[in-house]
Amino acid sequence: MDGQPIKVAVIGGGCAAMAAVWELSRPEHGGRFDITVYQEGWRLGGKGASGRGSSGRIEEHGLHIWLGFYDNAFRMMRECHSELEAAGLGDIFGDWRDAWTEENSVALFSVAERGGFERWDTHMPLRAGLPGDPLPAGEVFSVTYYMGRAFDLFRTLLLDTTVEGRGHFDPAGETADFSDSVRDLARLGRFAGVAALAEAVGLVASLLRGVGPTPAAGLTALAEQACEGLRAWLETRWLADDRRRFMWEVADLALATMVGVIRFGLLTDPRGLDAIDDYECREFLRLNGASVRALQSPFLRGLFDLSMGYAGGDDNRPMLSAGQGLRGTLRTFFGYRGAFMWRMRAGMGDVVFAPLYTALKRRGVKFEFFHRLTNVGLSPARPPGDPSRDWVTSLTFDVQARPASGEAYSPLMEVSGRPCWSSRPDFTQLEDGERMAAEGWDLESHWDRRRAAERTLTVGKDFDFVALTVGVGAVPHVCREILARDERWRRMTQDVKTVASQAFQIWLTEDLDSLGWQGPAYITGAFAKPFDTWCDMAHVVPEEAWAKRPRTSVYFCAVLPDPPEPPRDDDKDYPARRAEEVRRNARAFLEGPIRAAWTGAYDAHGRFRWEILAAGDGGGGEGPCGPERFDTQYWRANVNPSDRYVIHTPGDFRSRISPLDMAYDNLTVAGDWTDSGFSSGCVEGAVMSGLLAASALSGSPRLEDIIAYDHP
Amino acid sequence: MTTRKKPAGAEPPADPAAHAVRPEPIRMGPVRGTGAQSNESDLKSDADGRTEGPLNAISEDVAQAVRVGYEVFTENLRRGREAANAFSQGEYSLGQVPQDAGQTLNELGRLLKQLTDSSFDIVYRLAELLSTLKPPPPGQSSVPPFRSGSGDGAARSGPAAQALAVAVRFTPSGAGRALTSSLTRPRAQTSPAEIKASPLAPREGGAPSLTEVAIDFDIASGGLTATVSVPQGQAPGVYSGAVWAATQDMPLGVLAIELAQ
Repeated sequence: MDGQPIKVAVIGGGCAAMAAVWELSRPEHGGRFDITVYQEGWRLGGKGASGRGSSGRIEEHGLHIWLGFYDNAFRMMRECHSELEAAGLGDIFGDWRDAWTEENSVALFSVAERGGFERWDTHMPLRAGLPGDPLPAGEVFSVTYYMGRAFDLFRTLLLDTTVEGRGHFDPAGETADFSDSVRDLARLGRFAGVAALAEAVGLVASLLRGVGPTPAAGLTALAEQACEGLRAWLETRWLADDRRRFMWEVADLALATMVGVIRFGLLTDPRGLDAIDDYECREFLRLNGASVRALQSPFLRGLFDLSMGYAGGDDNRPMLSAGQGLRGTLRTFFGYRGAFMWRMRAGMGDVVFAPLYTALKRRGVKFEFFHRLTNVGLSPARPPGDPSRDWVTSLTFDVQARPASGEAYSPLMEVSGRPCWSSRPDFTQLEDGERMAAEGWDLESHWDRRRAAERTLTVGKDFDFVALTVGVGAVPHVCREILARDERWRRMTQDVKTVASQAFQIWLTEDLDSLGWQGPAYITGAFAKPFDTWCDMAHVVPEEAWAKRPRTSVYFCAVLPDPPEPPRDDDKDYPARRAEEVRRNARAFLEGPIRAAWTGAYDAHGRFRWEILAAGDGGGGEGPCGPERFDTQYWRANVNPSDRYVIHTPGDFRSRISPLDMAYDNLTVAGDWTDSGFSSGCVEGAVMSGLLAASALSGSPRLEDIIAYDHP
Repeated sequence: MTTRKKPAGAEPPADPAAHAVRPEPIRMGPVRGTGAQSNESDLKSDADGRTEGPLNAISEDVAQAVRVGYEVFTENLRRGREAANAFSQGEYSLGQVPQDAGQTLNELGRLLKQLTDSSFDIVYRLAELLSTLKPPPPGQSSVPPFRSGSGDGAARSGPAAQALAVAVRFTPSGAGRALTSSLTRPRAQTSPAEIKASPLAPREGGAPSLTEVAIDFDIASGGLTATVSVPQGQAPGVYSGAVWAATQDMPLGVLAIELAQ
């Protein structure tokens, strides 16, 4: 280094970008990097961006759950909070333990075979440590380790799962009727024996199916008949009692997983779980003996719903790759520390991106808002046989708006004494802002191309390195030169699939308990389509600024099916049409399926009581009546290319490009769409990717220090 | 960092080829296989010194499962006998009942966990034994999608969504044919035991009604089965009766059959 700092242009401001910037701006680098973040629109966060609307309402892109295995993400946030505390800003941002609280309850629904829904409550045990702690000495991630933990999980489910409020089995003697307990135990013994036999025969049948069609046909038929007989016995004698079914399904899936691990030699395969990543997750389980019943279980469906694992957003096409699916499941259930999940105190923008923005500004990182990338310029094409690599020569942006004062845009607002992002840009800070507001400029819409100016950055002058962290859906639109030249990038944008999502939030004047929902579960999955996943967010309402505070708010989210043909770039009304679709879906959902969970939300005629929606700052009776009252709530369609949720599909790991990839001299990539070691659409995958991008540009952090990067 | 001709951060390069170059990474991807090799046998610990092949191991696991199964019953009996003896000798106080009950349950719970572990062991050994067979390639096995969940009965739309398939069987088989193929789905969660059919009365004539109609749930189809017992000499013709769910006052529909000549 010659004393001049290296100029790094970071394109995008989501989790991956923040992780990369956090590493590159560490004081340990001694100012080696001069970093500028170029962000479309007015706020950081990417898919995790949130804003404050009227009454200080938190308005999210969707439902964000931080799982207890997000070690890298938590480590970053813990450091961030410590740094702010040391800077005297602890009063504002608090400790990280104030920002996240532990949560171990999950409720899952299954579609009852006899109509309606059944609810399954599970309480995960607390585990040692806290997310982000250094790994205990000698702890390595291995399939063997996980298999041992699978037994513990089975026992936890056996002992702690309740269905409709009733436990399975209570060895502590708290069960009222002793004879019931003994009967339960006797049945449990019988269950274990027959279940094992059914699994064993099922396994033989599935293995014989795989041998080939002719010589084993008779044997296969025999084994399948025997297996079906055993399963039928279980289902009529055991599963007729609904309390048992959940346990049986989870046991079936756990056994199929263990069988698959052994059968595919995953304990020793150097490819780890990538060795099975060409299989679809449910196909893999089926191959290894899981019953069709278990493959349709709420447990599995909840995982698919949470991962939005539906090709094209189509409920009838569940699609997740087996390797990453299993990796995610193992990490989720056996890799968490402290609590299974961690609730954010307020919006993700407030809890994650406002502290990061504040701390990074203090470190000297520059932020250029309203910069939408339109092209990545490349060095001239090389003659065939030239061993050198391409490099980025220019970055071209639409400057969507310019600060009126000539100074940097100030993006944070204050709500209840906390710095927050706004749901809309502060037009008063912008040149011509009044006109832009009047004309309804949407500065986050892919289809709204209005701009104030164009700006081109040049290599060596304005930047040296580039970290491209936009969503993968946006890559074809901003990297045309790269895609035209680079087959690997074309393959990546084709093979790494994304889905649109839909979300809505409501604020209620009555709490869920009084509406008939028996808490205390935090997140509810595998519920009715289209909004299969929802969450009681009562804990964030005190962070809002209502004159009269609603009793709770509830967030819903799910995939949004794609149209047969993707929208054209000039289809300006597309986002509004999809948002209207979400509004209709949400209203219909409240009028229909949520009845199964919130019986008290309906009047004597069976109609949804729209008056329980908090409207207006008073949160009371003002606002429209009837279904139109829903229009005072919040909903959105996440259809922007960069907002689309990344899923992992069979074999796509081969097409993902690593941030470490050296195809371009001065370019790295980051995002949950890259080969991050944890190729899944989540905060942790994005953060790991950002850490890799920082490592690619600076050599730090060491790959060994990225928790669970070296993972089967 | 290395550069070509021009260091990063300097003034604009005169030579357009001058640009900063990222450092070469030490490696390009995760190490997926570490941690597995050294202790691969940990999953099925060989602390008991077993070194036999999978076949012998399976036999042992089966034996262990049976052994534990017997232990469950033996333990149960033993505690029962102990309590009975103590009671007959006047040494047993009723105050001990809750404590004894708790201990028994705990012990049985422990044994049942062992039994479950043994069951897992059997499956493990079987999988190990058969792991040499080549699995089918990806994409060859079809799996049905998840059951769609649109909510409770009231939330479903359209008559098809409300229907509950019913398959009618006859004892003796072939004694008649079904005229009903579906009923209305119960509005509330209802177990099969809560669904009953009224006696099937003849449409005309004075033949006795068919009183034995068993309703059950058919897991394969997701619908109901109705098994109608037809007494010998029952008059042919059409018979029908309402099907009721204990959870509601409205019948789910009418079950109609026709007995052959």
